[in-house]
Formats: sequence, C-alpha cells, structure tokens
Amino acid sequence: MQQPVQRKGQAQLPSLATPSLPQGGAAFGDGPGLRIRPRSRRSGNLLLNLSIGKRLTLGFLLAALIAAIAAGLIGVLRSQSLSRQSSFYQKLLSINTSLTTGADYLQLMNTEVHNLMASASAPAPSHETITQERQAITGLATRYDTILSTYVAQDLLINHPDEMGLLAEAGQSGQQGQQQTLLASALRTWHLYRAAQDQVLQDIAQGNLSEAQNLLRFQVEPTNADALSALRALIQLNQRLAAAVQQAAAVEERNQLITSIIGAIVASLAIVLVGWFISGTLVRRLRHLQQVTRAIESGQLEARVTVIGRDEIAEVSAAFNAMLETLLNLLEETRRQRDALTNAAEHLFSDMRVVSAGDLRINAPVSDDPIGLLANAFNFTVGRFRRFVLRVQVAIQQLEVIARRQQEHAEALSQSLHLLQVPARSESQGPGPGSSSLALNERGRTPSGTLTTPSAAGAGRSLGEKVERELSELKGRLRRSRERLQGVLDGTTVEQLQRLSTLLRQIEEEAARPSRWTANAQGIRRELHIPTPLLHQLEQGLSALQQQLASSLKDVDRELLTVGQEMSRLRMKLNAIGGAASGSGGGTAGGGESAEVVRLALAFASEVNTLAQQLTTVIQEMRSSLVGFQFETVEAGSASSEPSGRLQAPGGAMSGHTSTSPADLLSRSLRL
Amino acid sequence: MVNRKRRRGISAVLIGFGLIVLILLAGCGEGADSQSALSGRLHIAGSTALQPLVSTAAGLFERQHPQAHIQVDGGGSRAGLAAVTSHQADIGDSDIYADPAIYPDPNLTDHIVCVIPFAMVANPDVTVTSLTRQQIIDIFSTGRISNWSQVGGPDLPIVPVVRPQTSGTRDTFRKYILGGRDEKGKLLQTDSSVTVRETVAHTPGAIGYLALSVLTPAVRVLAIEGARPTLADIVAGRYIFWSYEHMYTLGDDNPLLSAFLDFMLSEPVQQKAQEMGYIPIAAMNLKGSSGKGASALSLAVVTGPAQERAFAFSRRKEE
Repeated sequence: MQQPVQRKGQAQLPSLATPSLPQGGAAFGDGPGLRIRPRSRRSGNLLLNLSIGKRLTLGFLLAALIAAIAAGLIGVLRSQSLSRQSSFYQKLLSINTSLTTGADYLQLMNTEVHNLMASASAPAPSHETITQERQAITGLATRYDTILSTYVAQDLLINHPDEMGLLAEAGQSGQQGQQQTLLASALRTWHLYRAAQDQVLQDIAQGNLSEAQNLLRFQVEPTNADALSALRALIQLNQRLAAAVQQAAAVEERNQLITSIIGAIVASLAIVLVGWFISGTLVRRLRHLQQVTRAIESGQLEARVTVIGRDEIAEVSAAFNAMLETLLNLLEETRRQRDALTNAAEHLFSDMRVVSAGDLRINAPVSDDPIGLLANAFNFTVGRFRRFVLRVQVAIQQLEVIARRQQEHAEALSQSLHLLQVPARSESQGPGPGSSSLALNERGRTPSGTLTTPSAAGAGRSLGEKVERELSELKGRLRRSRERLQGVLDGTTVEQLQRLSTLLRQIEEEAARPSRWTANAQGIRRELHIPTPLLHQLEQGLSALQQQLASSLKDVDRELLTVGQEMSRLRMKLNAIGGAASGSGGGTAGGGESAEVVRLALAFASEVNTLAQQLTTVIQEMRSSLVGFQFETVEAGSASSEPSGRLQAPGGAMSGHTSTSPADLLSRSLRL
Repeated sequence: MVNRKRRRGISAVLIGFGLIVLILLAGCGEGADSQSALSGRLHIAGSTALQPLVSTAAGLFERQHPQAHIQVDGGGSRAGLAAVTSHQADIGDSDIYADPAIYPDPNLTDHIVCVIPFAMVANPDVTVTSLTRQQIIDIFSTGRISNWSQVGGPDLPIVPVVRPQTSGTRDTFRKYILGGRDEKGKLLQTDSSVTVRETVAHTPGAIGYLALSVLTPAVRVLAIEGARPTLADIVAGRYIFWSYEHMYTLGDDNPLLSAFLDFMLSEPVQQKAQEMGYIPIAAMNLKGSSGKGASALSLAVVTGPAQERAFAFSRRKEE
C-alpha cells in the first residue's frame, strides 16, 4: 500500500517543477515509445482486423446463413423424398392399372378362344366370325405381350435405384428379387398359354376340332389359369410395393424428424460457435486489457497490453500503452530532476560545512534551479563576509602598525625626557613649589597652569617628572587601547566566528535532514525554505558581531581621542614650559636641554596627534564599511526593497531581477 | 466469472438437446429391436418336393429364434393350397399356381422361394439316356411306345409310374411335357416323390418323374430332348421340366410369417437349397432382365455344384 502513495507523490512532481517542463516537452517530442502506432501483431485471425460493428454484423449474417442453410437443406430433403414417394406411388398406380388390364385381356382371350371353338364347331361355321375372333385373340395376345414387355423394359425395380433405396428404407429390400421372380413366372406361364392357344388356333384352322377341343380343355384353360395366377401375384406384389412405399414414407418421415432435429442442433451449435468465436474476440481482449489495468493499478508498471488486430479494442489498447509510456516518462523525468536537486543541495551543504570550518574562499556552483539560487545567495553572503573580515583584518594591522610606531615614538620621547631629567636634577635642586603648582595645574588640567609657573630648574625638573608621568600614563592608555583592539581581533571576533560556525553547522544539520526525506516537490520546497531562517540567524549573528566590533572600535576611538586630547594638552603644556624656560633664561645648558626635550615632546605630541587622526580615519573607514554591511545584513532577511537593492548592486549576479531579493525570488520560484 | 456462467448456460442447452435426441432415437429404435424376440407357431403344409428344403430351413430358423416353433407337413401341393385357404395352415407349399377360379381369395399371396427341376427317371436297368418330348408323350399318354427297345433300350416293357392327382409334379408334367394330355400307367396311391423313386428303383423297366431334391443314384436320370436338369440348361430355356416352388399365404401381416418368408429367401437357405438339388431363385431372377452381364456372373457362381451333380448322376447311370 505504500507504493501507490509514493507513486502518487511522484506523479505530482512534474506539475510543480514547471521550469523544467520544456525538457520534458523535448522528451515528448522524440521519445521512442510515446506516439505509438498500433503495433498490430498480425495474427492469423483476420476477424481482428475488422471493426467490432462489422464483426458483429458478420456474426449475425453467419448465424442467419447457417440457420437458413439448415432449414433449406431440411426442406429440400423433405420435398425431394416427398416427390420421390409420390412419383413412385403414381408409377405403381399406373402399373397396377396396366396389369389389371392385362388380367382382363387374359380372361378375354380365354373367352374368345372358347367362342372361337364354339363358332368353329357350329354346324355352319361362319368364316367371317371365325376370322374376326381369331384377329381379336391375336390382338389381345399382342397387347398382353406389350404390357408384359413394357413392364420388363420399364418397371423393374432393379433399374430404378431411387425406388430401391426407398424400399430399402422401408425394410423391403427383398422385393426386387421377388418382382423378377414373379415376372419371370408370369412370362413363363404366358408363353406356355400362348403356345397352347396358338396350337388350338392352328388345330381349328386345320379343322382338327376334336384335338383342339381336347387341348382347349386340358391345356389352354389350366395354363390360362396359371398365367392369371402368376399375373395376380404380380399385381399383389405391386400392391405390396405401394404399402412398402407408405411404410418407407413413414420411415422417411421419422428420419426427417431426426434429420431436422440433428440439423437444428448442428445449426444452433454452429450459431453458438460463431457467437462464441465473435464474442471471444471481444471479451478475451477486453479481459486482457482489464488485467493489465489491474496490474498497473497494483504497481506492475512494466505491464503492457498486447495489441492484436486493427479494431477499436486494438486502438484503445495502443492508446493505453502510449498513455502508460507518457506517464512513465514523466515519472522518470521527475525523478531525474529530484536527483539533480538533491545532488546540488548536498554539494551546497558540503560547501556550507567548509565555510563553517572557517574557509571563506568557497564559491558554490550556481545553477538554474532553486538550489542554485540558494547557492548564489550563499555565495554572496560569504563573499560579503569575507570582504568584511579582510577589511577588519587590514584595519587592525594598520592600527597595530600605527600603535607600534606611536609606542616607539613615545619610548623615544620618554627616553629623551629621561635624559633631560637627569641633568636638570643635577643643575637645579628646588623647583618644588613651581613643580607642585605645575602638578596642581596639571591635575586641574588647565593648560594655562603651565604658563603661570615661573619655574626654574627645580620647577623644570618637577615639570619633567610630571610630563614623564603623564607620558607613562599615556603609554598605558595606548597599550590598553591596543589590547582592546587585539581583544576585538582575538576575543570577540573569534567568538563571533565560532558562533557563526555553529550557526552554519545548524544549517548543515538542517540541510542534512532533507536527504532523508523523499525528494519530492514539497520536500524540496520545505528544505529550501528552512535554510532561510538559518540564514537570518547567520546574518543576525554577523550583525551582532559587527555591532560589537563597531562598539569596541568606538571605544578605541574614544580612547584614542582622549589620548589625542591629552597629547595636545601635553604639547601645549610643554610649549608653555619651553616658553617659560626661554623666558626665565635659567641655565643655558639646562635651557638647551629642556628646549631639546620640548622640541622632542612637541614632535611626539604632533606625531601622536597625527596618529590619532590616522586612527580616526581608519576607524571611520571601518565604521563606514561596517555601517554598510550592517544595513545589508540586518535588512537581508526582510523583504524591504531599499537595502536589498543596495545588496544586489555589488552582487551583480541578479542583474535580470533587480527588483526582487534572492529569498523572494527563491520562494517565488518554489511556488511556481 | 461471466464467461463461466455463460459456458454453464451453453452446456445446459447442449445437454437438453442431447437428451431430446436420445429420447427420440430410443423411440425410433424400439420397432427394430422387437424382431429378435420372434415367438409363436407356424404350420406349413403342402408340396413334398419342397418339404425337405422347408424342413431344413425351419430347423435353422428355430435355432435362430428359439421361441418360434414351425411345423412342416407334406401332403401335396393341392392339399397345401386347400390347407392355407381354409386357415388350417399358415403357409401352403405348392409346385403349381393357385387357380384364381378355384381359390378366389384376393389375399392369397404367392411367394416364390426357389425353382425345382424335375427329372425323368428310369430303373437303372434301362440303358436309354435321352428321350424326346414326343417319345415321353407316346410312353405316358398315347401308349404307342410300350417297350424300351422302341427307343433304343433293352427289351423291357415300359412301366410308367403315375402320381395321384393331388401331385403338383404331375400337373407340371402334364402341362409342360404332355401338353395337357392324360397319362396312363401304374398309378401310385400316395403322393410322394420318395415313393416314386422307390417304385422306379425296384420295378424293372419302370419310368417316372420326380423332383431333383429326392434324386438318388438308385434311379437313372433321362435327358429330355438332349437337355439335362442342370441349372445352365434350365436358365438357357433348353430344359423345360421344372417348376417354381410357391409358398402361398393369406396376407403376410404376421411378423413371424413374414420373417420366415424372408428367411426362406435369405442367403443361407438359398445356399442350402442349392446343395439339396433346388435352384436358388436368384439364378432365375435374371431371366428376361436386361442385366445380362450380371446374370452370367450369377450363373457362374451358382451353377457349378448342381451341374456337376446332374452330370455325376447321369454318368453314374451310364456306367
């Protein structure tokens, strides 16, 4: 059950990753399996190349044809057998008539022979009557002969196979033998009778009346009876044949019933077969389509419908296959995009890790995707930070150089003052009040105080001590400010950087989490969203660091200002001392020494002054850069247009999108 | 599922059709089956010439159908016809035709089962081999020939053996040999072919006629007009002293009766008839029919033994 859900998630990807759709479109265009021509496996079944409507029509026509053929065959059989029976029956009827006529002829012949006998044996025989009767007898005999020979020539069953077949159906197949036998017996008796009759006629013609009489009585009559009997047997056979035909008709009817039932069964079977076959061509393939659909539903995406034929089902199957190919290509495309995004994200995260380890030279590869945008923003941030840190470093180095120089100057001054102090102490021992007043003046920080002291050597000496003390104090201050600068350099900056690195690590961890996620669109959107707050944090940390740096630099600045003021005051005091010393004209040597000291002190004071000025400029420079940076970083998270516009101007990467911040752009691209 | 249901429907329809067909076929078959269980009695009487064949056939028939009992009596052709027309017998055997004037019953049906050749026989002492029809007429009817020496034989008085009037053989003899003339001679009291044979065999100079079925070497067969009572001569029309063997019935609606009549015409009985000296009816059927090739073939098949036998008899007689 998990698979389908996941697949559904994947299926939504392409709709989100619209920027990459053109690529997918290209795959649409030249993908091999997308626009699938029906790869019709040309099966031997030509039916499948017909459309369903045609096939159904064909099936119905076939069924109708089969039914019509079956009905027609049964009807033809029935009519054939009926006509066969009726013709046979008719023939039997005519045969019967002719045979009955033959029997009449036989009887007539018998009568005529008797008449002839009577006429011949009459006392006065009429030759005309005798001739007439003789002609009648001969005519009858000829006719009877014709009847029998016609029967022999035409009506033998053995010459009519269809009639024999009919009789065989009735179980009367022995009849043709019996017919021949009876016919032979009729012929034999007839020939015997005819011979006897001819003999009688001959005898009468020869006047041999008594012999003719005898013959008539003992031979003609019995043979006539025999002939009649044989003929009657033939007539009876004919009647039996008629009965047999009826029987055959009954048998035939039964057979026809069976035939029609079998025909109906065969026809219905054939129709059912046709229907089964035709419906099979539809149902089987529809079931196959259904099976494939189910298989795909249950996740077997490689299942395809076998396309057979050129009908509607084949078209649907081909379209289905094409749809599957398209969907799978889209899925594949989406997966590839997801993988690319994941790779880019991982690369970016490794870069972040490197940055967190302190290497600021990193320049993450920028691509066209959301991760690329993120990387661009990251690069920009890192670059700004790097530049800032470099600038701070340079400033600090400059400060260090200046401070060292000042220290050297101060040491030189203190040394020269020290040298000055030693001869001054040996020359004049008591400048106590002057010096005390000067010390008082010094304490009251009134530059005019030095002018009031009309000091001598003692006063000069106390003044030199004071200056020395102030100088050492000044030196201490300078050292403190240097220490503070170093503190700024070492303590706070390192601390801030460490904090930043932890922040970056957090981002990395945050970034490491998405790799566990399934890289779907929402995931990517989410994972792309998450670093932004972290970046906010990073920027806040950076701003805090800058503020701290600014404040410490301000402290240093203030310190150096006070040092500068102290220095200028000291110079003025020294000038005043110089004036006083020259004015009083105390010991020339002492005056020369003090003038040297004053000159050195003045040079030192001016140098300290310039140093202070240099420091001020450096500090101002740093502040200005810090101020710029501060604005950017503080305002980077928010979507206000002015700082971001200032931010983008140095970045230059987003020249096309001047009016939008990278974060805004990012979120917008994700939303697309 | 749908398909399976549909298949079940189809098979149900098919089974229904099959059942209907089976029932119909069974109904049709019943008529044919009942023939094997023939039972009942048949009484057959008549011609002594046909009696041996009918008795043999009845034995065969009873063996095939144990339920059927067939009684075969002799008595002569006329007695047979009288018995069947008066319903005393089911079948009347006859050598002669039933005269429609005497037996006017229209149901009287003629069944010709075979042909029986008759032979003129003489006592073995008589050396004559052949007689003409006129000589026979002179011997039997006119009495002009009374000694064998008149026809080229030994000096022996001719004793014609005459059968009683009920004899079908006598009828045939009168019609076909004597031309309707009366016969004179030693009149036998009983009509039996066997009696004729015995009488001729034991009476010196005796001459008689009998059916070939009862012929034994005890008597000598005489040719008529040079033709012998062989199948070939009969079929060719050279030998005329033969007769159809009729089995008369009053209709054949009795299944046992028609079965027996069919059995008489069946191959085993006809074969038997040929062995017993009759001529199978199939050999005669073709006379006058157009199928000459077929007739020749049938003759060749059927003729052999009978011809041989006839010749054998005459040869033995000659010796």
